[in-house]
Amino acid sequence: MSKMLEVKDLTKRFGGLTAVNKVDMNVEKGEIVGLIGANGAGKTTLFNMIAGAFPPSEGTITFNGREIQGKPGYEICRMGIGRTYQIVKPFSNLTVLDNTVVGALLLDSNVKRAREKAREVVHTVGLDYRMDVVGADLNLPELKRLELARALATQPQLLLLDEVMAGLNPADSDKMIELVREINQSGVTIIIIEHVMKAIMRLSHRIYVLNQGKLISQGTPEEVSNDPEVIRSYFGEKRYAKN
Amino acid sequence: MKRKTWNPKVVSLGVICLAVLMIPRFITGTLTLQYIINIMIFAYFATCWNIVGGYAGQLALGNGVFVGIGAYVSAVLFNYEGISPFIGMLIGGAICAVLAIFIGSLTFRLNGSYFALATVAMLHIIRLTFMSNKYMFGYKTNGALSLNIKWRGGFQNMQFENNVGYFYLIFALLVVGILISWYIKNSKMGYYLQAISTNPEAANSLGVNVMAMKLKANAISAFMLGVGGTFYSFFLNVIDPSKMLGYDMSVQILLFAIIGGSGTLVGPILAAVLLVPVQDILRGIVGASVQGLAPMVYGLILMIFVYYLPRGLWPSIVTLYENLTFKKKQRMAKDGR
Repeated sequence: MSKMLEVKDLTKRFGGLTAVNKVDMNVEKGEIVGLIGANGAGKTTLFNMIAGAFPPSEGTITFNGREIQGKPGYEICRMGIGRTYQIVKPFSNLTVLDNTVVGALLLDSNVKRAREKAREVVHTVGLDYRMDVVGADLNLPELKRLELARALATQPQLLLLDEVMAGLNPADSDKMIELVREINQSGVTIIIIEHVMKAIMRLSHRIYVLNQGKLISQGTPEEVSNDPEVIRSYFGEKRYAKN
Repeated sequence: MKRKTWNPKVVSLGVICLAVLMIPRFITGTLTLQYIINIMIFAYFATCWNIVGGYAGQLALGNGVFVGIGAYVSAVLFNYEGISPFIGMLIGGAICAVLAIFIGSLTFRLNGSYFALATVAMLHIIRLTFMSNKYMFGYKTNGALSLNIKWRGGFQNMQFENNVGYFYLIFALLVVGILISWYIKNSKMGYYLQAISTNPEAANSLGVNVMAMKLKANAISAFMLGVGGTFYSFFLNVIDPSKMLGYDMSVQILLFAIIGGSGTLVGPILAAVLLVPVQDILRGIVGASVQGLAPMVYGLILMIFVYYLPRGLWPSIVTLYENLTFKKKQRMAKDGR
């Protein structure tokens, strides 16, 4: 396996608050890497820097051998990094198909072909039955799938999934796990932020754990779930002592 | 052999075009023809504004100023250099496009109402610059006074003896405007603009260069408004800076687009067809008897539109049609047909 993404000493300060503090992270081609941590640990901030939503205060992000930190989001997307949003951001006045076409147009400016591609992707994420419904009329599980469809339509090499399971019931969540696995098997490398531990443990090849902006642990799901530091950060000192 | 079927939309558009082309054969009254030309020119302006204001969702309140700039450029080139307005309109349009890119690169950094206000400031700066200088770039533009366009006559000078010539010319302009708007809406750019109008952040993460796309839309819209300004001023044969560069012009244009349904192709045209005559008739009938009553009644009509059809006229018609056909289908299914 070859290195796809390398994050080094990445730091983000918002005024006096250091949201991400000297984080190092590597992602190999073909992996699913989990990113976990309590609320406010800096996971989404880390995603935002990789996806180009804002530049880091310090550190480097290297994607396929090229430094990408500080580049605008649209350029990073064109390089092959797709993302979904934790708080869904549909184009509410466009249909599911048209939402996806916006993503598909990245690689093919021909609208007719892009629509065909988008149709395939909508089918892949299982939203066929809502193809012509506008974004404003979708429910949460559908919106999460739409987020995924749009990002997939850009045909990314690396996909950043920000809490795609949040708010889903166990059945929908199971379907989503299967879908993420299928996407990975089709050759897309994935970094996934998730609070649903069942999903993270089942999907991830490796996991990084953040706490208050710092990387506190990394390894396979088993290694991480047995790491005392991780247990302490999730359950606090008292609960850790009881264990 | 497969029979060629015609798209009903194309057929109905063709029929409408033919019907409009026949108008001067039946309507010979100069004033009536003038009303119809007014409708077409404002339908064109609203269509142009719709590209940046509707598709891209940028409330560019002051963009009517490009009509005035286009008008001045081609009039000055015609009066003093003898350049045909058909060339002048391209130069005027190009100047508008460059200006739109320059101004847009500053104002598009602002969001929502701040952006809208910045475009109004731009309008006033340009208007006051024109009105307080008798000469612009060495050419006499008459400052706050009107600038008359010299009479030379002939198609190449966009000057006709009667309104029939202007009718056909401005109809052609409107058709070209609609075709450009239709092309943009159904192209990659159209998808990107609609994405930007609802969620620029998500559009950015899908590879859309939001700023470049907004500038492109602004430049195309400004170019088209500038070209329209040339046609309008040669039709009127005079440029009154307080009207051509005025705030009212801008508001009027965007009102048609918004009331008709901004972001739709048909809406701005439909609103112009309905509201321009209302305005003209009110001015003629009510305005003659009680001063100030015409704009008041017009304002009231606009408020009724905005209150009862907040999404715009055309989207409301489409929804109504869809509901009716849906009910019909349901009834047919119930009857087992």
